[in-house]
Amino acid sequence: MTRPLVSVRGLVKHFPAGRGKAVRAVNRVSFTIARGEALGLVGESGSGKTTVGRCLLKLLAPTAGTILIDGSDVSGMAPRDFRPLRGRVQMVFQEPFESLNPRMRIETLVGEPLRVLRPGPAAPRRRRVREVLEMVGFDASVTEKYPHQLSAGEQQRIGLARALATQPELVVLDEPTSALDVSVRAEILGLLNDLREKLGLSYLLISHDLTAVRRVCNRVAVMYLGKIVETGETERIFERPLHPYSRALLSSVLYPDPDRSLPRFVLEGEIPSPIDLPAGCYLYQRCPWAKASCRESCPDLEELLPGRRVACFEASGRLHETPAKS
Amino acid sequence: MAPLLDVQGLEVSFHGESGVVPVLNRLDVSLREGETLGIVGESGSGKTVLVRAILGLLRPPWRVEAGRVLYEGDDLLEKSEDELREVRGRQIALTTPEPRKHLNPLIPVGVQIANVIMAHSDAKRDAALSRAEGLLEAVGIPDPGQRLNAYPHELSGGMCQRVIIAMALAHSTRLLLADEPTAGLDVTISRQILDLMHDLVRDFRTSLVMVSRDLGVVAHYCERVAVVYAGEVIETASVRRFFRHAAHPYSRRLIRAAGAARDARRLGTSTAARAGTAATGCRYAGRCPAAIPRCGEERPAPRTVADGHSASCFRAEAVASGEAAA
Repeated sequence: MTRPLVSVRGLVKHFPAGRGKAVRAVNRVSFTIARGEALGLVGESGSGKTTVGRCLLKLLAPTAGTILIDGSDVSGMAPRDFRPLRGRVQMVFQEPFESLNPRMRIETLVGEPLRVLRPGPAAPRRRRVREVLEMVGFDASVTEKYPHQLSAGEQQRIGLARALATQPELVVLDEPTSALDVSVRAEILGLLNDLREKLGLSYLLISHDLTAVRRVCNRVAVMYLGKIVETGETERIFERPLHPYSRALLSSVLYPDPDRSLPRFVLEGEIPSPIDLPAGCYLYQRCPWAKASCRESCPDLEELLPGRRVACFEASGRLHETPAKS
Repeated sequence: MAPLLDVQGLEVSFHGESGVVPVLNRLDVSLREGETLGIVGESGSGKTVLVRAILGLLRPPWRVEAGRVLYEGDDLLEKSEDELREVRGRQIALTTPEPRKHLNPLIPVGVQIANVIMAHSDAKRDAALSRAEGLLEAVGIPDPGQRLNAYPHELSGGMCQRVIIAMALAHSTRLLLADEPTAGLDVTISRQILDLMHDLVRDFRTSLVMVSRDLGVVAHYCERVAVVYAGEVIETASVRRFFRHAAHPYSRRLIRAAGAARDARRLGTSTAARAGTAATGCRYAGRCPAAIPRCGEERPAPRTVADGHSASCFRAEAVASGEAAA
């Protein structure tokens, strides 16, 4: 079996919240990303998806668990030892403008990761900067500009060029399109698909935008309150979500087609605080399927269909309720 | 029947340091009593400016240059500030995106709602507070008696939006202007808010103008749609007709971009034109796949393509029928 590019096991991240309490942002999360694969991490705010991404890049130190990147355990690695790996895993941020230094020209901005991580003479660096700018659809004239002279969509393409400069194998994309208008968003998603195909990249796409995930990712992990509640192939999950939270999340997507009936699977109430996590299943209070047993213990992920793992006591008994579409 | 709201030839410009920028260009839009109208467009198209102009909320450097805003036949632009205040509180209400920003952080939400009630009636404080409690209950806030004393920071974004809606309904509002009511809310919460608005509009027999960039929201929660592009309404139609037979190439592009289609590559790469791009002829001509020489020379007037459906495009009929590539 080939080794996955990324293998996360039992990842836990708690933040201190004062008075001995903790924000339990990520609670025992495990997943793998194969080479060339695009995994979508979906969930609402507070689900811990961004924290997972940041732990992966060592921007945050995990509380527990292991993170293997190409076989080496990076979770306990000293920052200096992680440095050679840093160029192989890069990140694109949510707010394109705020993640670009406003006082740097595009030339400097895109060349910066190379200057820091692969120090060397300027000429090859300049060539590489032009090369990645071309990959994301710019000609050389953009190098003289400053970020504020570009539109939001162009800024995000610069963010992408910057991430690609060091020839990474994995790109973590944190809500890369949520600040963009629909037509610009569609362009960026198309570009992400092209680049993955052309460069054989792997993605971890963190997003609450399910249509974006559907366009880009071949596999999805649905998160709720710091836990993965369902994983599987993207199309299979979109056709037939098995976990009640996935069902609610997918039925909240409003397709731009008035004739398409609105699926009604609406959860009650709001997401509980990650400081006072409910006992038992985290969805217990909001779930229309909840039984007394759901309050007592928290279900683990279990393979209900080939390649589909679901953390719900009730889901297996309800497979007939969610018939597979052709 | 005369429309409840009839905006005619509205022109608004921005008087900035570097000159005058036209933002709304002879914009026409109307709404019948009891109707729900979705106004869609990308950021910078002028949607929010339109809503603020209707309520007379624009201040320098914004200036209304021409046009009429007829509400029940009276031109709101001609009214004094005192007269407008009567209309604003009692007849037309506004909800804003980012609800928390529009609540006073230092005053409990119950008092804020009561203030709205007292500003437009003779109600005393106690009566206003108990009515506020009833409103909080009507907008689905659990434990409304307790929540009267809550400060905005103690409520979630979804709850704050409910409070804003409660304020909008404090008087028997006839027209509700909802500016991006679900911006910044999580998807499962968005659905709750949209369902709530839908029910309230029906129960209170309120007419609704919903500004949104999300075509999915408009498809499912509005009856009619008006598309704003570069400061003018370029197409208006029933929602049902719009999604099947859009007659403006820009509308078609928006629908395509919003669709869940996996292939987003055929969209072209130009970015959205902003309000204020001055040009003779059609403002979309430069990006339009269906453009003919005439489009660059002359500004197209709205053409009726079917009953209640018009589009500002010389080739509207051909675009609607699918003959012209768009």
